[in-house]
Amino acid sequence: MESTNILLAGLPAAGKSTYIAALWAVEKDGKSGHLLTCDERPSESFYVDGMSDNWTVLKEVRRTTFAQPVEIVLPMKRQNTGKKINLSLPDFKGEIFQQILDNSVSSDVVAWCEKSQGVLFMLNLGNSSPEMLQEQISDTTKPRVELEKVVLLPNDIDPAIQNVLLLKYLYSKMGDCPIALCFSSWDSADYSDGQDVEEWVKANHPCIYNYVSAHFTNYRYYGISAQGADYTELDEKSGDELAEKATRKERAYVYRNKISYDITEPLDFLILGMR
Amino acid sequence: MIENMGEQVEDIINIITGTDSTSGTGTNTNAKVNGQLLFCDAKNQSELNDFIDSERPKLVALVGFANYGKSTFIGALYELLIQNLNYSGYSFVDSDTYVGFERRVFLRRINDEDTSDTKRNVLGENDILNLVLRSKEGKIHQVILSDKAGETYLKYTSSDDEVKDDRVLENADLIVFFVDAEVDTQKLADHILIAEKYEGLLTRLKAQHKITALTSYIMVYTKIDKVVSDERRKKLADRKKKLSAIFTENIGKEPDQIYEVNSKDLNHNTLNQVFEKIISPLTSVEAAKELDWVKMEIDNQK
Repeated sequence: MESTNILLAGLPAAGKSTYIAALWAVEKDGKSGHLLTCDERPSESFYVDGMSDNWTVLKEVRRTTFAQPVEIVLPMKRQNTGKKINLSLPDFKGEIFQQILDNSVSSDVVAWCEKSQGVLFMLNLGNSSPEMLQEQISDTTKPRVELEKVVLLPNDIDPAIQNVLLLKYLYSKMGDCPIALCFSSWDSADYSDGQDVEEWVKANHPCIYNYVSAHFTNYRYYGISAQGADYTELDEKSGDELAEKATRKERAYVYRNKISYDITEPLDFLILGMR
Repeated sequence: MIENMGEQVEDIINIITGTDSTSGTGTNTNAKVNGQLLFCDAKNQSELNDFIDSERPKLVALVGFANYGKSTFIGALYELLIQNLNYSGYSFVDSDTYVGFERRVFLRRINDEDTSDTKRNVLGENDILNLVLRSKEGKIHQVILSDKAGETYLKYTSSDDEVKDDRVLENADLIVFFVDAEVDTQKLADHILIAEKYEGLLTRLKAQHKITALTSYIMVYTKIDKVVSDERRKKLADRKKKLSAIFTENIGKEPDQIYEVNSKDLNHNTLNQVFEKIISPLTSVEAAKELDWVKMEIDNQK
């Protein structure tokens, strides 16, 4: 069976673990009819089972805290060709990627950059315009001036630029590889019906768009709602409705210019691009 | 022994000021003062080679004393570039010094009234920033900006030794001299001090052949929003003439242009005109100029 390594990358709280949880919950029975679906149960699935249990009961998927990444191997099948693929994804904690901004690069990241053929890049930048982001930063950043000492920390960097820096690092290691950029929490994004997500990125995060378009030839943007809704806004009725959607495999979704419940689309795009 | 003591004293001064005027290898000094530099931080002039590509970059030096508004100015340019898909016909597609820009914006964000260059200098902030820009036609060009802390230029006014190691000014395609319009239009004594400081700086730069009649330069009066009353406007007009005469006399030519800007208003027309002048690519004539600074860097590495 062909093995495919995809680097799942993103800063803290970008939605990496939630995506894995939703992917496993939706695809594990192999009955989704999606572009990719599980071909068989892996020999061991404690880790992803635990994640998807939280997803099923509408609880936040616990953020990864392990110092070393957990390698998730999923035996998948491409529905249209029947081809079997052993899909390998690392579940890194986001802080490991954030440390790159601090010039402290984990050897695990380097190893995954070397062996991966594509990048699933998760971002959680909300739907704020750049100006609004600046204001938020101003409000939340406490002055760090002590006499004549001012210290800039990675967290003080504009969130969009933090992502550009991570992309820049990945590009330096992996070159012009296929990359799917997924904006998480899409259920709370401010976009107009039918709007192309790439146009949304141009309007809301031009510095990311400019960097990506100048460096990667095989890229695609997605909006993604792995949870299907903001849990904090759910009451019992809406929670039941969301759970009901899960049984129909219509809870998690991706968006390009319309909603699709096939959350394997970004992975399939990467796999196709690797050829 | 005395030499060693001298070196130690210089080391201490360098650590305090965050500069390393002797070797230009400010990185280690910075690390001592500021901890580790971040990924894509600003560079120092000894790292100019990092930016050499097949195309000659445009080198722009931003010159001004402490609190003249250089950081706010450069921060405004950066904000406009990251917030717009296309700014003045160019897309900002890359930089090896994103964090260097972020530092300048950060200082402005945390406290508008307390962003002195002194703090930057204590931080040991490097001065070289780069912008990689793409035109609508898809042509890529690079602009390198030198944004030294104001204290560095203050040292230049008093010491030839401080000036001689500067490799940026003599090779700059454009020098932007900043003047604080708010201070310049207050007491006459304040204006005289500004004029004296610039005269001192220009005299030494000229003596060391860092500026010549071939130097392309502009003057930028910042904080123009603080110059409101008719009386202040009149003072500004008079004093601008006097100061530009000092520049003309020392450099041997008039400034290409004199601008008045408010760097806190990103929609300010004149501000955008200056930015356009800074980020536009070299003309074919300029681009054909010998790569003196590149050669010099390569020779130094041999």
